Amino acid sequence: MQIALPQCRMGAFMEGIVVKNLTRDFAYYEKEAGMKSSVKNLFHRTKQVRHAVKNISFEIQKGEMVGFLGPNGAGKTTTIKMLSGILYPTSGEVQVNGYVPWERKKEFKKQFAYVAGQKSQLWVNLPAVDSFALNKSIYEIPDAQYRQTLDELVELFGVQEFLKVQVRRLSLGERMKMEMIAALLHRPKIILLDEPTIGLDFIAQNNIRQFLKDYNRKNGATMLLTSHYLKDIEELCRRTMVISHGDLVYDGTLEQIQDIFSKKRILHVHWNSPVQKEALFLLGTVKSWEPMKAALEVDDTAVAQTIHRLFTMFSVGDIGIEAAPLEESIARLYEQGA
Amino acid sequence: MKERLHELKWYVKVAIHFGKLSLQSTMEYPLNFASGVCVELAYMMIKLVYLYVVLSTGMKVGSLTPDMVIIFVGTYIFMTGVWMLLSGVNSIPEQVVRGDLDLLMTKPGSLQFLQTFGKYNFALAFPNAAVGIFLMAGGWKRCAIPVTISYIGVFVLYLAAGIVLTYSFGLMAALLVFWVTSLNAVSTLYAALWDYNNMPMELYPKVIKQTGTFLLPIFLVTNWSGMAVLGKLDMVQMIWGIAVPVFAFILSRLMWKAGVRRYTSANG
Repeated sequence: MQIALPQCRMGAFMEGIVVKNLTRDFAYYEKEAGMKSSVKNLFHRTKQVRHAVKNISFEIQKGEMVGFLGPNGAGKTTTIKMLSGILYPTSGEVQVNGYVPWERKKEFKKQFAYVAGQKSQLWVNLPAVDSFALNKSIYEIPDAQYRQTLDELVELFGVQEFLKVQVRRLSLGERMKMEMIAALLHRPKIILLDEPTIGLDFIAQNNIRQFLKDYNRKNGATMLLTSHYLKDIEELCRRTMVISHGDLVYDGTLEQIQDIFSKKRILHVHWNSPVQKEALFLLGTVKSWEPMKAALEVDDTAVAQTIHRLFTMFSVGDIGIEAAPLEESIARLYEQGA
Repeated sequence: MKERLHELKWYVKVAIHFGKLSLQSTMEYPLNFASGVCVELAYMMIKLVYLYVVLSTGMKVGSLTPDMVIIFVGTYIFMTGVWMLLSGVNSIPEQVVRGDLDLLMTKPGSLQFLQTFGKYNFALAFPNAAVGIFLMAGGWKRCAIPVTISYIGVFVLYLAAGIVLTYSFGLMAALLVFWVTSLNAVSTLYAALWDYNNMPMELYPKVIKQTGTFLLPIFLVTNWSGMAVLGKLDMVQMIWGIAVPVFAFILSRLMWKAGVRRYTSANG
């Protein structure tokens, strides 16, 4: 598939994120099963290189919320870690708000936040408010600003009652909200989120999503978000990038992915009188069936013809057309990238 | 200059904050604190047995009288407390393997500072530091060393040099995790070397003394402060006692930078 990637302007300062030809390789050694290869490896090991991220380029404008999708091991986290300055790239250039992340300048670090669902910065034996106070010292947040930001964030998340509870005694959802507050106390302009809703129940996921939306609206922060939950991306990001096997294989809207990759449509049909399941087999794939209703999957080119046949063959009460689930389109996109 | 002062103030403030949180964290579980103290006291008893033997037999260690030996054993126990205190240094191998440096790397300030001064273990440090100070003061008195600013200054100077060495050696040993995955052998070796300071270096044959002074200068950690106030350091040794900690600190800093470049995080 042809993807139009933005022209990056590395020379000029830009608020937001500019990535050009970013590559990261990891070296590893292979070992066959068994003792013989273990002994052999003592004397000679063959070095292999895994290309985790391959020459990717993109730009994210100030205030944009961009979703970053990809299967496990595709290179999402590695990319985010390079944008955060945690990992050095093998080659390529990155500017985040005009800074090169891996130079780790203090001023840069004060402008961004990295939130990872599986990493914690809170002191588990103490209430979260103690960790917040530590971040106040580290980020040199003035008293008044700290008080105001903390009050705002606590209210947005509704966690007033948990502020004085030891972090280790909080539920996963409550802890994640506290992690988020800790990360945002210094009012970052860039937020890099690596699966922030992982492991959370749908209410907690919803809270986090709502919060991120509000934060973006109020503060105009630039956000890049990875998640395995499509709903996160669907609700938060107009633009989505898809990475597969280290390659950036798509950059556009989610709807477009569906248009491009889904060649199937689902017809939801309600009958006026019962219809046998077997009678539908010739019309398409029966996704679900009850005597008075059914869902049929058909090729997008055959929709009109199938509807015509349905009306001819049965007494149709109502009919609706839906695109195939987004997950299927994404999966197809992943496969294409492979 | 103003900027430097501001930065220094920031480091002091944040280090104090880390200390407070470590203490608060410990106080949440007083039983853990108590058990940590008990374990360290048990280890310390073993160290004190050596001292008891020296004192009860009146045995001289090289040119050192039993009273002088008290200062050296006190310094050794005190430094063990410093080593135990720096749990941020001691936890580096675990943090690196688990990829726990990620979030620290995104914080303003030096990563080395945030990691190595980010956590303290007061339970293990407290008994060592307290007994160490008590023995150093007791030995000082029994040796009738003058209590003057110059004597105390020299002692504190080499004690500080010993602390810098404790930090730097501990850090370098821990940083090897960036090159080898398991540090069990290194840790055991380092602990064994450390225990050579159980007794003053005068106890050992010349070859070990030379090795522990010049090749693997572990003796500088606990011997130089006592030797300085007892007038047992010549000019070369005095300079060596200051130069080595400076060199070791710089080396540990370079090693830190090289190690961090190799950091691949947990799922890298």
